Amino acid sequence: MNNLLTIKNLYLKIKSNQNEEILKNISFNIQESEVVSLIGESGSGKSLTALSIIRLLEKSCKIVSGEIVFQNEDLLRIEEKEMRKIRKKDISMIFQEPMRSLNPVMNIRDQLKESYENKKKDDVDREIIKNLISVGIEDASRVINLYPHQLSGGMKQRVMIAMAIACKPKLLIADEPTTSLDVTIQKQVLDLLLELKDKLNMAILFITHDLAVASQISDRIVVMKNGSIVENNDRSSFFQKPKDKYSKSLLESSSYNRKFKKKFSSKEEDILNVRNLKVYYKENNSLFTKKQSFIKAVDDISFSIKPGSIHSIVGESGSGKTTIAKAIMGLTHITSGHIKILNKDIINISDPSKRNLRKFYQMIFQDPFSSLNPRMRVGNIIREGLCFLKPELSSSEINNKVLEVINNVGLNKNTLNKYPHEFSGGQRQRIAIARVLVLEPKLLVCDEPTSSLDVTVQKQVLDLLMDIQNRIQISYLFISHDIKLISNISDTISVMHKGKMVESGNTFDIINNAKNEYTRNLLKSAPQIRY
Amino acid sequence: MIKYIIKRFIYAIPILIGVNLLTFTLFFVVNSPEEVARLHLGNKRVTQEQIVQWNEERGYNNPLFYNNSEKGFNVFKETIFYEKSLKLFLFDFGISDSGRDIKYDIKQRMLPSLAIALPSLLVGLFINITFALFFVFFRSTRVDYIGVIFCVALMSISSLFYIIGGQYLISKLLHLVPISGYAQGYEAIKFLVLPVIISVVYGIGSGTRWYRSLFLEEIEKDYVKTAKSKGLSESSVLFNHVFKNALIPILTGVVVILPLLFLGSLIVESFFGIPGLGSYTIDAIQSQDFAIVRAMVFLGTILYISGLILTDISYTLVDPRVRLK
Amino acid sequence: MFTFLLTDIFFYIIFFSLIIYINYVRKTPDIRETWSYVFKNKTGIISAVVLSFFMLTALLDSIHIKDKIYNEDRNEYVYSQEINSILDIILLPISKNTEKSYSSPFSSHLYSKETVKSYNDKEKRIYPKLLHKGNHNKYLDDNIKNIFFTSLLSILKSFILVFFIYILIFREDVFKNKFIFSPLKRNSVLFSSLLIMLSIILILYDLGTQYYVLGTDKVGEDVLYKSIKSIRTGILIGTLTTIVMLPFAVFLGIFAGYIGGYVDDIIQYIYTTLNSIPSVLLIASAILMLQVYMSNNPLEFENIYERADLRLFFLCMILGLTSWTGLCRLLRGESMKLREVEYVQASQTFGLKKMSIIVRHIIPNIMHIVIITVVLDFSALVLAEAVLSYVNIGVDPTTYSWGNMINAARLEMSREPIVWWSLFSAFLFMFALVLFANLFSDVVREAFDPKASKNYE
Repeated sequence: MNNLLTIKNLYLKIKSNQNEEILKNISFNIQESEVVSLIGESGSGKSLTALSIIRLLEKSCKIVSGEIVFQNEDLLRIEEKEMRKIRKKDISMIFQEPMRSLNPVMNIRDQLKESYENKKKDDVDREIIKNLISVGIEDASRVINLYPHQLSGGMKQRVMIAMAIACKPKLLIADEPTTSLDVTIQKQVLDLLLELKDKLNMAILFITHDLAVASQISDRIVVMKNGSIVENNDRSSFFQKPKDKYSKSLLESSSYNRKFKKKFSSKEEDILNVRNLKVYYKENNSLFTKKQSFIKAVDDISFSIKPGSIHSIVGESGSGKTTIAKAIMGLTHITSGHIKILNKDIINISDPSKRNLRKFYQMIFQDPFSSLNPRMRVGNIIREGLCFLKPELSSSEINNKVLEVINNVGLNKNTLNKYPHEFSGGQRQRIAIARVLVLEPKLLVCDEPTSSLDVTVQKQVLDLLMDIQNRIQISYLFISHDIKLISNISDTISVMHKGKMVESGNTFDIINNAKNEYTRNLLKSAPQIRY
Repeated sequence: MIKYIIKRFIYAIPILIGVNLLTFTLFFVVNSPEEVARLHLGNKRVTQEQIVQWNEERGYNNPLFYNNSEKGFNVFKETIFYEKSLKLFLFDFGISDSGRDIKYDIKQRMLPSLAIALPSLLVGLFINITFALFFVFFRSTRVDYIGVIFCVALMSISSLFYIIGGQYLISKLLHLVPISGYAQGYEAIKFLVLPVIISVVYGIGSGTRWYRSLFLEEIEKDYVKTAKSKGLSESSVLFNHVFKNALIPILTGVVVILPLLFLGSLIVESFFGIPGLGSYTIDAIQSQDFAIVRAMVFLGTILYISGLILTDISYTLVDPRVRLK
Repeated sequence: MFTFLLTDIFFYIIFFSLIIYINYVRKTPDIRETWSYVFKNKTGIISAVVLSFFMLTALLDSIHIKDKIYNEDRNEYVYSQEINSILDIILLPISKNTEKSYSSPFSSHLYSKETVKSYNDKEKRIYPKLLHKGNHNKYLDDNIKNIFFTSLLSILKSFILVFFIYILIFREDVFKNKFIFSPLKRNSVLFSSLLIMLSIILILYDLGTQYYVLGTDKVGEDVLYKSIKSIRTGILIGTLTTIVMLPFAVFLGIFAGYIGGYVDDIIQYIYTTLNSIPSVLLIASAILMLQVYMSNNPLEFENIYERADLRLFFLCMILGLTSWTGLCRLLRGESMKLREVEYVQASQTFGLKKMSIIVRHIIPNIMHIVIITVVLDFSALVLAEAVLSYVNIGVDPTTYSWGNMINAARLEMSREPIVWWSLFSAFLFMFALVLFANLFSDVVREAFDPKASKNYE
């Protein structure tokens, strides 16, 4: 096989920071019709590498030295006009967010048409429809007239792919093309990419942070860390015997296992008991129509959690799983149903007694970057709950508790005087955990607590949560889209789909013999590392 | 769609009522009609008879809200509030304090106002967008930087200097067009050229900067990257993608002020002696003719609200994402 | 004795809140970082220096003093009706004398011919000599020499002044470490702009005592003095107006956005209603009514200064009440967004009351919008003053303001030959203030809202 693309000693700087290179000595090859996965955590420079190839870097970035040879031509040294020709013919790219990557005010036909030049209108239309069908859009003749906002996320990504392969490129650069999609859709898109690769005989540079996805699709793996390549290996040897230490830790982090499970008795009283919970949102009702229509975000859900156990709710985006968390925490109104904490109904309860209960159930949010007030010192953030929910404590007691908890989550006490922006995502999530842990809750609602973190950091935060659970009597309600992760940590699982609970039960039962079709589909689609 | 428009008109009613009450309070409650009459007649040596007579001539002699001396429905009808405020809803503007029919005046003066405002808007739009596109094409180069500084400098000059300076330079020194005045028909053009030029020049600074920032906002978006990755040239990305998206805020921004063009520009018209609604308002303010000011406030509000409704409608026409409910 | 006009008091309040805010910024690292972006930027430093000189002038012009004078009839000291500011006292060498009528900048004679009787009773039409300034030298070239050397001396003075300021600020570096010029390199933009500003001021001042640098107006008053006195009016309108509207805008905006429901409906109704009236008409109506009220109740406003001052104050109030809607709407939208942000929700799960969430979480996180709006509105308001004064609905005709100067200049421009210097001076001062305010606001906006503005590299 021939080399299609060779990157040699690429260095890149950002204009505002002249001292440090963002990309350091990047060198690797892509062969014809080969799939190379570029793996790394956020900020490792994998997207910048891709953008350097197609020369679409922001103006603030500057390539210092190196060469990118594509079919015997150094892409860094040719004229912009020549580069445009190459983009038109040989190299295409698809991006992470299909919603934002399509022009919102042009219909699909007009956007695709730009890839077909010098052809008659009827021919172009026919070509476009053929192309759309080839990426799995069956009613292409209808879709062609639609605007991007009228399509689902998966459909939009298919349109993006159609646009990219319209010129039958030799190299397709895919920058996290499935990250914003649900697992079931992700599987379809990955299958499609592989199918197209064989059909068109094109090479793919696949950028991802997800090792399982990379193992599904690639022939070779290139691992990046802090702007340099740490390992370049073919797939099977990478996954069986990674050479680099960092690669090893990535591999270890990507499949999480709870160290040991605590025993809990099923006779004890439930810590949380949800009965027939319904949360409906009114749709925009107009003045003239009497009929009210509802969006059923959560429709008749019941489950319970025993003390000291971990219960998980799993579902794709829009399944209503976060709404359940919000309903429990009192952050959204409830249409009907009961929520009992420690056998007390928290919906029809007076404010003071609810306040007494609040310290027993607390929540960790998904995004540590928006869950801490940027204008407050970390100490005050942690103290806030104590001051309001345990007013009986003296200030020295509060300070002691804060110091203890900050130690427990693995941070030092200097943290307390700093502001959130001085910390990384993982550290912030630790602060968020400290904020609720200081109240000594009995139940912690964790809404995707790790999904916005890098894999290695994910593992650390999960370790912390599991460690806490081993030390003190606490139950978790875990909310996640990641059934693989869920199955490794939880005692019981509920599967949500479109506001309804399709299946609920023991983790072992659900994973090994799911009764529901949707659950099985979810399990099947979840990417597993292919060794 | 029609349902939506009707709904919007219904929503406009409480706002109009609010504006009406506000102006009524300002003009009749803060100062009683008697005090206003005293001001007009000159403060000293005014007899009570003169005041009563002045008010009677203009219909300000009734009570504000409730007339005890009348019977039946007339207790509400024979009041200042009914006569002067509620009648505005029927576009009955009454007579001015100097005894002229306001509605007639407004009809007469709308066209000259429009004759300046509309060309200024269109020419200005064209020039500002052209400049903005030019700067965006050369973004983050020296051309762009100097252009922006130049725009800020232009913005920092009061409109009065543009008018006085323009008048002096073009009319007085160069004798190209008459300094001020107005004529009917095609003759009007020579009077209109200068005010239009000055309005356009005055708007270049802020307009260009505004459109430039609109374009720059669009150019950062991801779909631009997609378009470039298709191999499109810089100019076709700019025109086919960026421009199309930026056109939405531009167009709706224009539509919202379209109805207000009838009101004209206060200072430009008064400097150039154009008999439009702007100079009408200024004259009324300077001669303290409150009846006209009241009418203009109401008219301005109606035009503003209709501008908002037009904007919503134009959104549905240009933006495929927006559907009116 | 010090006297306090109404606007003075508000100006002090603005000044003290500025100092408190600066103190707050110094203590809070992340806001300090944002502001330090402004003061690391070249444009930011230069405009800050220029603006602070304008602010200082306005402040000096806001400390008023009544003189004690001896009343011979009653044989006692009484306070005079005349009110002077510190600035007036500083500018006394410039302003103390007036001429008969117009004279052009640096001229030694009046601008128009007058009939004078010469010694042999013959009537002659000549340009009379100015009485007080501009006549130090007989010949024109000597005048030019004089102007040149006076300016040179002033520049020298400002060099010395800046040097002392420099030593004062960096005394530790200079005396202990003996690196006299190393801090200068780091702060070269600051000190060179300081030097230029001081030079300009001193040149104007030194020449102003000997010449009518910007000419005289119809009644022979020094135009330079008038322009400097107008600074206070411009700055007051630019700042007081926003201060007046801030509480309304902030609280109503937050309540509407955060609490929602009926509160939101009512507040939205209020500001849409106010917003629907074209602002010029609303301002005109309010000012007209104020005029009626003032002319019908002349007894309440005895002193001519207090009367003019009150009118200025009300103008600010009215401008503020018509312009709060924009900020209110912005803050409503931002509060609505913040209501859904996770740290606000986290506090809700602690059971915090709505008011404490607003104080602890919402207000600190919308402050950047308030700051951007305040600096952005400033220049627009200064420009608005001129237009309103032109339409006769601005400040009192006796108040020094650029608007009034332009208004008067309209007639001067149609004279033959034209009198251009009043207009020119108003233009110069206003342009300087508004230009640097605009540049400053650009930098501030960039610092506080990096995504929204990309005007400079």
